[in-house]
Amino acid sequence: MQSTTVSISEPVDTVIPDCCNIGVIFRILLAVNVAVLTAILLRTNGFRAGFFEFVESSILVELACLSSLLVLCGLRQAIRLAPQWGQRLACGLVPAIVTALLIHFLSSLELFLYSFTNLTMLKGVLVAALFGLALQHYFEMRTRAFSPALAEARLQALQARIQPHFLFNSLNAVLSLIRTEPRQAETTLEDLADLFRVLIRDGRNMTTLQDEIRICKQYLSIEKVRLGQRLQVQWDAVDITDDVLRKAQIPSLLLQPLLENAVHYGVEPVSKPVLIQVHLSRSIDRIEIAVINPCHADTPSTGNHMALENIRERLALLYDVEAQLTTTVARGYFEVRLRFPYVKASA
Amino acid sequence: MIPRLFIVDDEAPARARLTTLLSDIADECPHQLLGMASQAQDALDEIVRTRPDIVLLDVQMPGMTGLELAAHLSTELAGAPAIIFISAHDEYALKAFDVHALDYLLKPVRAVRLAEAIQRVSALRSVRASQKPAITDTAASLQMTRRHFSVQERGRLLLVPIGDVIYLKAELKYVTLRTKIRDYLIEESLMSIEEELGEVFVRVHRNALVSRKAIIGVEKGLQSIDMEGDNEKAQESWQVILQDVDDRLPISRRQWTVIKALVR
Repeated sequence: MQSTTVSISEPVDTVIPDCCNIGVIFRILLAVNVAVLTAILLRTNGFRAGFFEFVESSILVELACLSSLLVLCGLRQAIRLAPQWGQRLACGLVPAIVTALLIHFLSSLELFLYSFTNLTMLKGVLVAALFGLALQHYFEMRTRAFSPALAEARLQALQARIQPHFLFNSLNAVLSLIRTEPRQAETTLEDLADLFRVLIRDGRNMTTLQDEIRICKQYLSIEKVRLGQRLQVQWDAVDITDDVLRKAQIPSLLLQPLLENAVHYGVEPVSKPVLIQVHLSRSIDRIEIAVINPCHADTPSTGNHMALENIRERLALLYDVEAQLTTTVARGYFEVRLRFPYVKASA
Repeated sequence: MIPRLFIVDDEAPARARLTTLLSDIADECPHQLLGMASQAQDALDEIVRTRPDIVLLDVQMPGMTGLELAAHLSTELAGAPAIIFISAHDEYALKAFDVHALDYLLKPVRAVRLAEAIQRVSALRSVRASQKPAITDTAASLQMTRRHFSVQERGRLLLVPIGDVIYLKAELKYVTLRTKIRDYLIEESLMSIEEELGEVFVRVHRNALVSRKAIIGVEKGLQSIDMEGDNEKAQESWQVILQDVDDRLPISRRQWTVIKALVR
């Protein structure tokens, strides 16, 4: 069930704030000035002196803010085409460069030298970059908070899909069983029905670890009909009690695509029996699942990455930084490690 | 004439299904099933031995795609069998098959379609001849690089994985293909191999291609060069040191810069 990434154009992919928007400009100026004022008040004696220093410094602060906003406003159309990390970087870089230029040109003025005795180029650039990055982050969070519908739509788009190759091969395998092993044919069709029920369900659903594992085992038994002895699977669990299995929440069809990848890239390319290992473990508040399969040098891996990227994005949308997906290739084995918070079902 | 068939598919249920279907259509489409194979090398051995008229060949198989197997069969075997490809689903492959008018059936295969395909193929005597270019064109349009050399040896067709080859050396009429274990003789030209597999092999000399990953170094050594047979003399030149074999191959002056860049 390879998933297809459908890109939802605007707000999800664009993380650079709209610096031409008056509301955005106002918020940025307010935030920067309040921060500068706070910093100055904290280190000067008395409010009066602090206030004067703030007024003096605001020449540079306002100039840096407005010119950075102007540049970002002008470049926005170009920057938003960049990948998200590039856009974020730009929001830090532009203020840094603008500030550097300002300090460079203004430092020849006597007035300027007099007002900013302990301002160095490095300090100014660093502060500007930090403000840029922090504000970008704030606006990104804000966009996300105000448009959950977009995140939901994105999740739906990332929903695992059936791979036609799998469907037709499975149907073919069932057909071959009908006359000789009618009972096995029945079980296989039942498994296929269960799998499809989950597949056509809403992709935003959460399920329990137990149910996800059951679906995975049904999926593997369908593949087993087709691949026979070539497919060997070993499950083991550390610190996973039945209670945990019943209660732990996991996004529906998170593990199954990983197994499908393991079958497709680990088992199908060779004619010898291959072992896929699945390790489940828990450490206090996190659940970790590792899927390990031998990898074969000459198989293309583009599809592989696509499915993994998809899962990674789903995790990011659901858990933010609380969940990780890591992959390693070592000594001829491919390992995918999935970590996510142990959240108990409310029921 | 009753067509004689052979089945190649890596999945047991798929082979079972085809056999069942064949016995179902035995009345309207008489045929003789010679055997089945689950792997490419077994398939080649059996096909060379039993000489079927038609091979029902799965497109997706481990290690070697059905298309590559078909290409080896059609180039290496005189009187190669006609091939009916069978595929579960692969949009790109099927598009290429359509373009080059290759026969294929979709899994799950229907009895009627299977019978039609067998009857059509066995009625057309010219199918085999026309299939050969179609197969190589299809492979080319899918940008499929083959993963094996096929070698004819004492009536067998052997498949040598390209990754196992250390070097290829032209000698008189043939090209010697060296692997860690032994030598093989093939009839392809170094020129066409270099053109096709330039990413894998690099030319070190007019008469030799070496696997890029097998080169572990270079050294100076005496190389005997044969001057018109009678006045043999030794000349010092650079040679490549290769992984797993003791043979040293001389590097020609023209290729020296290329090889030097590789070993650095």
